[in-house]
Amino acid sequence: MDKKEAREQLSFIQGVLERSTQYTNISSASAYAIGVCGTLAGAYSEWILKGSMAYQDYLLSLVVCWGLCFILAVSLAVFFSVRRARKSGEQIWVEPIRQALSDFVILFFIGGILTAGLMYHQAYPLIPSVWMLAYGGGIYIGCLYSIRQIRFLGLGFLSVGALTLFYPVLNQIALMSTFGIGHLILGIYIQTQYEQKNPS
Amino acid sequence: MKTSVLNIDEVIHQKIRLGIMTLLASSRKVEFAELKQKLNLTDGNLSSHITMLEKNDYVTIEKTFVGRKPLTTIRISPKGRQAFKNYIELLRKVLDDENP
Repeated sequence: MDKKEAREQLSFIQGVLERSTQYTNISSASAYAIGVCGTLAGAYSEWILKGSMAYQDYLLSLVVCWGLCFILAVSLAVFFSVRRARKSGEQIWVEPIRQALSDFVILFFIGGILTAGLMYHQAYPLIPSVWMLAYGGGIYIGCLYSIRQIRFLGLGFLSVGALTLFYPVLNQIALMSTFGIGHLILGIYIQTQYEQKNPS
Repeated sequence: MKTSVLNIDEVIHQKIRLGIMTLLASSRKVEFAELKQKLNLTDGNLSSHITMLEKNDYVTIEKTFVGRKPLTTIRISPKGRQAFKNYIELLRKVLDDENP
């Protein structure tokens, strides 16, 4: 074996490794679904904020609204991702997805613990910031296993989450703009940059 | 300088098997379908190369069922991992050699 062949073999190994650590067959429909759920939940939160609901009822409504939004958004995102993978004959439960999800679980665990602590101290207005920071961290790390540009959405979440820690009055607009509009923009990006170029 | 043919592990040196070993070395276990997808191979082609690796004790194959669907999972063996490390080391040695 000479140097040229050794170089070729090494670059082949590198290429295989890069392909195996990335999942780029992301569905824009998943991002749109999360975006629509986030926008609707944000609009509903804003609407009840302007109403004359008692503070405890308002908090309960917010928890129910964002809880339902989370369940619906995750279900739809999984449905559309699996559908796209099946259409293109790809597996969905692959190493990069497993890795990204295991990282996400840790960040969600941190978000849950912080939420419990903040609720204990009745610091309710800070809870949305915690989730924007936890989710933003997850998205930012997730870009290591997928499309690199997703990190901008993660950075957006982290910046807005940090801002609302100090200005919780912006919570509703921040939630709607990150979970809602942020994902809608991501959907447009995936659709134009990936799906239209590589239709399944 | 040309490395002696005797030094090269021909089982791993072949491109497809090198790809399989690379994927297996970077994961705990990989499903047959995932390997097929990542390396863009047919069932028959992948099977024959995995059989070759198994004969040399470089991989272990586990066949189970998920519901009624058969699931084949492949893992790299300690001997296979060592062989892969040796192969990478060999590539490095060839590249580090001062002769052009």
